Amino acid sequence: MALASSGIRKPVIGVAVTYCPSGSEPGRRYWAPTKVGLVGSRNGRKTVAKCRFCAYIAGMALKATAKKRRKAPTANGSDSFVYRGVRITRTWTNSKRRKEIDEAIRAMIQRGPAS
Amino acid sequence: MARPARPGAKRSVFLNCPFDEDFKPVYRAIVFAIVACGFTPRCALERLDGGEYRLDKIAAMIGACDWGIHDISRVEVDAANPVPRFNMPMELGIHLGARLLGERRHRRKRALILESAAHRYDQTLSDISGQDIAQHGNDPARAIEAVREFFNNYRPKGTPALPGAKALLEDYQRIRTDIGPRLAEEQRLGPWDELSFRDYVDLVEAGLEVLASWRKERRV
Repeated sequence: MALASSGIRKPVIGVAVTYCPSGSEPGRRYWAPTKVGLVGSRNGRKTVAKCRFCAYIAGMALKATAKKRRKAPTANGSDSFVYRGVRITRTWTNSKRRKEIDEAIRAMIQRGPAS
Repeated sequence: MARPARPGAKRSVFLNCPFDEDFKPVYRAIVFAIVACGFTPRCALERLDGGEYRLDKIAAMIGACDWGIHDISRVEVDAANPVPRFNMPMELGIHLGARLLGERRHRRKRALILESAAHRYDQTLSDISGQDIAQHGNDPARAIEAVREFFNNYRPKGTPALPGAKALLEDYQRIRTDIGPRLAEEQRLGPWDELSFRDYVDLVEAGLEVLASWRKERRV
């Protein structure tokens, strides 16, 4: 979501927290675990969300949600390295944990193999 | 917690296999081989959501992966289970169905079907008799070899061959007995043998990076 509103033009997948606009669940807060972001030509490149209760699909501006998500303590990321000629790409969301794993990897590299 | 970032379908492998303790050595070897070949394994264990129908989740994952590894060696009866389990053949069926009848993007799906013994599937699932089935004999080393062969056969033209099965097996043993348990302990993720799917994949990736660095410095 943060990516969707931060100027990156690629389609992104995210999770939205918003309100159902259909009226069947008026004002009810829900997690919408659905595709959110700039979607393909069928939907005219707009942000969409789907209510998990009533299956209402709406094109909507999720700016408020995007602001909330931007403050989230997690961030997507990826890196890669070459292992025996094969490029391995690691992807993650939780940057704090990734930082810990990266530190552990660095420490392990320095210590070397067990005898 | 936000959902983990995911690679595209071209690098994602849906893993359909038993998750019981007896099969764990083979299952873990397969996951290692998938990562070591440069792909990302995905399976039903990666996400637990009580509000989500399991079949929906599995079907969505199969749809999101161009590759599938299906182990049908556990369609059997024993003293504890008087009737065979059909989850694995059903998920294989969803994969084949998507390839045969799904949208255009699903036609590039590729499947590795694994069995424990040659031609056992003739008795349990004879509809796939015309297809190539690999056998692992419940041996992790043979499972790694089968997965490596599968991805090596489909590698794009002009790209280098994947590391050999023997090299992969050596690295797997090194990660399993040395690097992995040490990383798991340092990260306080619990005993190496009891890691969750997500943690195991993370530590295998970390282990491969450690090995790549050691190899560069000629320490292994």
